[in-house]
Amino acid sequence: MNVLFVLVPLALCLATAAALAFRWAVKNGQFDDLESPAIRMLIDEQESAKTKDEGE
Amino acid sequence: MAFIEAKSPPRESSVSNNQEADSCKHCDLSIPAGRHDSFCCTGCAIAFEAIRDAGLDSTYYSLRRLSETARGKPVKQLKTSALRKKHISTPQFIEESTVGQSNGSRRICLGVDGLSCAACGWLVEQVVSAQDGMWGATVNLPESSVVFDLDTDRASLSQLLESLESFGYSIHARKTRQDGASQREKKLLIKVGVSWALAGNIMLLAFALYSGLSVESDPIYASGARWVSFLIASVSVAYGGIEFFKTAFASIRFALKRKSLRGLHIDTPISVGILVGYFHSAASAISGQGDIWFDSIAVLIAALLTARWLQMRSQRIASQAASRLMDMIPYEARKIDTDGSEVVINSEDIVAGDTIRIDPGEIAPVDGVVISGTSNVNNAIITGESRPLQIRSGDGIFAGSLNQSAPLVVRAESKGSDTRVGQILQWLQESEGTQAKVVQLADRISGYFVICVLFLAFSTAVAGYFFFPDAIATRVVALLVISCPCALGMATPLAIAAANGKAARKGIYIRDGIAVETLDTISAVVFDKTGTLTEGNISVVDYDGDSDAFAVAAELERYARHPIAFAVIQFAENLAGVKQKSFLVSDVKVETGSGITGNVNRVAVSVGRPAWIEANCSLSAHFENRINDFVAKRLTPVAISFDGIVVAIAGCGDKVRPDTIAEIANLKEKGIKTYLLSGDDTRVTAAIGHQVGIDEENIFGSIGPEQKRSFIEDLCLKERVLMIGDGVNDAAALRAAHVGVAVGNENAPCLVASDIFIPAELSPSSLTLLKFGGRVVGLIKRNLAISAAYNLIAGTAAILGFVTPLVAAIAMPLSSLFVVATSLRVKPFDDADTSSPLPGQSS
Repeated sequence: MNVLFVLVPLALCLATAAALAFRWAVKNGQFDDLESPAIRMLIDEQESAKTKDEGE
Repeated sequence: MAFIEAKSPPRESSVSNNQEADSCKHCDLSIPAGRHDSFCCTGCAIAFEAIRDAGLDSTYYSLRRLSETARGKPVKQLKTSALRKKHISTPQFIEESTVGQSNGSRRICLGVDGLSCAACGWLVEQVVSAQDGMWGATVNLPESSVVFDLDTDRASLSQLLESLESFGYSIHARKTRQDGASQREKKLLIKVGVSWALAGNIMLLAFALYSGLSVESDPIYASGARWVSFLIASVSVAYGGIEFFKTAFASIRFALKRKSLRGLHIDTPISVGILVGYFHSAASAISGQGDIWFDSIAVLIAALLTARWLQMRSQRIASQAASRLMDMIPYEARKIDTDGSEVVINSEDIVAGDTIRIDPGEIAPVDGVVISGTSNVNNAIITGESRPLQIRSGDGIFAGSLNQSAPLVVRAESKGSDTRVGQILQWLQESEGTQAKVVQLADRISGYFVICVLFLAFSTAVAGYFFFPDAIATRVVALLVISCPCALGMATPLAIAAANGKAARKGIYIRDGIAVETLDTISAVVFDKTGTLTEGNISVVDYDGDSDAFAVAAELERYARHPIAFAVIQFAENLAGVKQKSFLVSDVKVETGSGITGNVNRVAVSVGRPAWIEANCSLSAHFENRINDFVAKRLTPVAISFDGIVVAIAGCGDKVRPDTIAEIANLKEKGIKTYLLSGDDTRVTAAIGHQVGIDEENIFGSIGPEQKRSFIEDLCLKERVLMIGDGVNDAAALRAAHVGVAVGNENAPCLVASDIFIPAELSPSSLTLLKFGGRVVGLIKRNLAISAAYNLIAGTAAILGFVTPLVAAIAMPLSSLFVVATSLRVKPFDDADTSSPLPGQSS
């Protein structure tokens, strides 16, 4: 159980890191548009369009 | 799931309006040879599956069809003028509209017109990135904007403008900046995220403590857990709680100054709860004795901040719709100088007294008075009236109205926010105030609840000192853990959210939770006429005479730009059994305001007002009587003559929607009062009102927007009012009503002002809405009852010592789960109620 003395501060550090990352993401505008990225992933890249397998 | 497992061609479509086997079910393009399913490509197949699996197919395809079937409206000119091209390249524009980046480039955000789907977004991005000196383009579909970086030395915005134009998109500077609100919202979002992180960690530690880690058995670890909880909670209270303390403090000062308790904001009891809990727990942690409840405090802070953020976000989205309307006012105008020459200027540079010219098909940029010219204008945006108004020299014209027939020369009077449209918009934005009252209710309940529980806990401790000194800790902890404000505060918002989700799938978009509750209590329904009770388009309602004549008349009418002309053409196309002949049309002459003449297949044809036609043609007594009938029914009569003899007549007006009469009758049966308010002519309104069955004294015509609003406000004092409408002139009234329903097409201020939006095609009746409200309220009441009962029973059990903290820790999430489950299973609609025009729809 001694390991808790390491784990608890470690957990807190991780939480702090996560919070800082979240703060960066919000300021960077990652959360501004939640709809377009979902649609964006359906769009084909130009190069692979011709080689794409048809008819599943 | 559809992406990976789609091995076989998709099953028979439940929604599609193309009957031929060789059109793609999703995009209507032809299917290439060699494909064995009903789609033109894998993309469409996947998209179709995905949409259908999500249960959205009926709504999706009907919304798409909305734009396809809009007809009779002149095409909005997307051509960007030389002026805009010039303006957009000036260094001043670049300076104003772009933000400098660290690497020397500049970032710009422009509004884009013409984006209709994700493919458009992709295309715009590609076009921008292909330009020299521009990169990193990202399209934001909901906002219709594109952001990209540019190197001011190499980039040419005017060239980009031309490129995009060739694809059918036009770009413009964003007129409204939304930075202020977004910043606050972003800061709040950060607080939300951090608060939850902190709360989560405290809960982990608390779990250990609840599971039996106590100061007596493991002094080091237990104290460690308590102190760490204390530390984390301090951060949470200082960082997250400060949001509530600020308003609470301000409201206390305000209440003291006013010497009244009504000034107290909801945040006050919340703040008290937080602080009491925090300091008491702090004392416990420091002294090493007594229980801590940092976890409850931290979760409360996080949950309330989340609610607040959601509220702020939905407000911003709503107001963005309104600002997009101001973007519709044209960017530039044609000013006529004193020497008679025309110069194109920026709309914002127009000064009162300037003379400007408005061509047919253009939108008036300012309010003004007509100096010369006679034309028809469509004032739908202001008055909601679909019938175009004929204006001539001396008449007034509003910004935002569409000039339809002939050029007008206008003297400008007011522009921007001084115009009628601008003022209505401003009024809307001012009364934005309170939204999402349900969230406030949840806040209030949670706040009081916490205080209540703390008080009970304290009382239990005190009582325990006398009656059960050994079990104080256990009972108090059990009480605190088992009592769940989540269930109590969540019951209402969750039921509403679930019901709204189900409504959205049926095509009814509900923006505000409180609207759903109010639907249950409605006692009066107010209808707008144009577009709500009627279809909103001029069409031929009745006719007499030779039906073949209409095909000929339609050929001639194609040369006229008049809504009545459109109506005749539409009617001719719809007439069954009309022979298709080839027509040779010549010598066309348009007489504005009266009609059109010409030679069709060497027959002299005239179509127009009977009085004008009568001057040169003979009109039989029979037709004359019929024309009088039409006028009595408030239809606009149109006569068609061949070689000097009137062969057919038509009565044009706005057709009443088919279900309306039954709907009004049903409402009356339920004892709900019905009213009709319209900006249109009094007699026309009265005629329509009688036709649908509304009582005489409840019909009002020729009402302007402010009058509508004050009427509704007065009515709201006596009844619970549901208002249904669609034009901008309804917007203020919609906001004043207890529940406002916007029906129809993309009318931005209407959407902002209303609580519910229904696309015109689906038109479920007001009855369906009322039933919906009733069912949801029933569910909410059930949820609240269950939560209240649970808390009472569980709390009592805990105080009396029947519950150990462990049992409490299990019971609490179970109760939340139960409330969540019952809310998600709400069935607010009977399947029969919301029948849509689409075949084979499933719920």
